[in-house]
Amino acid sequence: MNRHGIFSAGCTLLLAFGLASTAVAGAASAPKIHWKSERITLPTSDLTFTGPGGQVLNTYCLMCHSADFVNEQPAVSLVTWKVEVNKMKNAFGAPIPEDQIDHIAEVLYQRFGPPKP
Amino acid sequence: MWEDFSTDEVTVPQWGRREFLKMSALLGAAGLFAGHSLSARAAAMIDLPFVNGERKLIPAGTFPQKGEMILQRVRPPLLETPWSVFDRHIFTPNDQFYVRWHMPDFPDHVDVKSYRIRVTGLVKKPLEISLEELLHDFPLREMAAVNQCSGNSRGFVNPRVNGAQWANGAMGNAVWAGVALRELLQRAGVKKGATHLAFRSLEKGMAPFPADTRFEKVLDLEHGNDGEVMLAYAMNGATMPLLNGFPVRLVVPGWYSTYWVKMLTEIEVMDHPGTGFWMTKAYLIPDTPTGYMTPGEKGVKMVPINRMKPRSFFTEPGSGARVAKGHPVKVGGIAMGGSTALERVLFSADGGAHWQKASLGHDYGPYGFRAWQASFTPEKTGAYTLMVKAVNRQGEEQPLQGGWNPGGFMYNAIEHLPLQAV
Repeated sequence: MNRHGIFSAGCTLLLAFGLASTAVAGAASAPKIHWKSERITLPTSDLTFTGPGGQVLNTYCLMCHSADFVNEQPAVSLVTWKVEVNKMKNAFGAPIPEDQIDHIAEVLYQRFGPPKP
Repeated sequence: MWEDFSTDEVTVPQWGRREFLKMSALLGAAGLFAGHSLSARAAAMIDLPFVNGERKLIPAGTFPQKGEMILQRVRPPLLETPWSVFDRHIFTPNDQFYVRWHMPDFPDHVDVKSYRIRVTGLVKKPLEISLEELLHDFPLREMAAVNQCSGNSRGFVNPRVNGAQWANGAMGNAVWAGVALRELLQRAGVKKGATHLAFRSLEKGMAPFPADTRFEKVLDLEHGNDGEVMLAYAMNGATMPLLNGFPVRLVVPGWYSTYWVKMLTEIEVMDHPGTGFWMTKAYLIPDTPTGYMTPGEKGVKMVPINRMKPRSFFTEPGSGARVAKGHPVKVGGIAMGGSTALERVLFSADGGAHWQKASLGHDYGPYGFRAWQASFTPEKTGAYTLMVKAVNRQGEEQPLQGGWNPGGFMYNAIEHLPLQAV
């Protein structure tokens, strides 16, 4: 079984031009792996929505994702916002009551305004 | 709070002592550490070049095992690779490789002793493979390959589309080491009538989310058995960060990252295509030769996203750089062929009127980045628009205008770089 590596990683663009053949000829052997269990702690976000409709967004958006993701979105049409909110409910399973869908879409549309040309 | 990172259960292989000290200082000074809120503190900002593109540039260690990244979303994490990283590395360092998770309850721990990869379904001998067995009982396969999010560059799609608003940094190039999937399938013995392979992972939907949100991707058996699709246990010579799929990730060279299932635990050999959400509702593209359509077009047949398109990028000089009239300017960057090898890279210094062939750097294999270089001499002062275009072995080349589809997927328009000659 051939366990010799064929690549040498971490090479810069300069190396990719100038010294690449050397880097490959002197290739490292197969990666040495020592399995070790891992547990990570992730940072959290305490960012919340304020202003008109902030409460309904805090109730139904933050259960799955942080508020930054919404704030970064582009302005899209009201119809597109409805598609997005429905996707969160129907595809991702967010427990958003049926009678809140249109309201949430309207709140988002008002926040971002009409799509920019 | 460095202790949080240095327990027996966490390995941070990429950081040397210098980075350790730098990070400790940062942690101490700003009180930033995992498990605490990111919102309240000041961070450097970066402006991605589209409307509403202001993002935080978060320091190393903000996310476990990750270096400095562009923060797209805290939970579940979306982290973009800063563009300067591609300027310095043809292989993207593991700690700055982009991160993309869909569901809020994705696993935050992996027990390597009990971890198994199961090969089930239409096989003569179902397998349960431990990590040690994967490492020692199968031949090593290594491959350079670009992993690119289907929605990379979505922020440039016009008209704009909802979703992660990435610039160009939701991609990375690595040397993947592991085992060809074909080896596992041979050992299990695929039964007659099998047509597809389903890939599942530790990522499963939990309450209040319905069970069918579990992450499952499906490939044709023939594709999975091609000797190139592989199970990677290392990237760039080290185990991968948990956020990038530790301990084992599927590598589907030339295909978008949605198929590169992280924390892979099960391969089911099936006699039918995928029926789950992630194959039938998400990551769909128009069934057209380009994968694009006209915005608002009705009744378009949709199919699962698949092969990557060719792309090329500038890394030098920087956008808006001032150069001297009458002196040669060195330009360069990185390029990829997509689903097949890169054939050539073309460079234009006059807004696309004339193209010249760029020279290409070392070829690490058909699926990785190649460096490219060209040179031009601005003969007069004023504004220049540089362009770069990749062409792959199938003759597919980048379009001048980016295409559109409802997911904002597969953007690959020719990059423009403005320069000022003085």
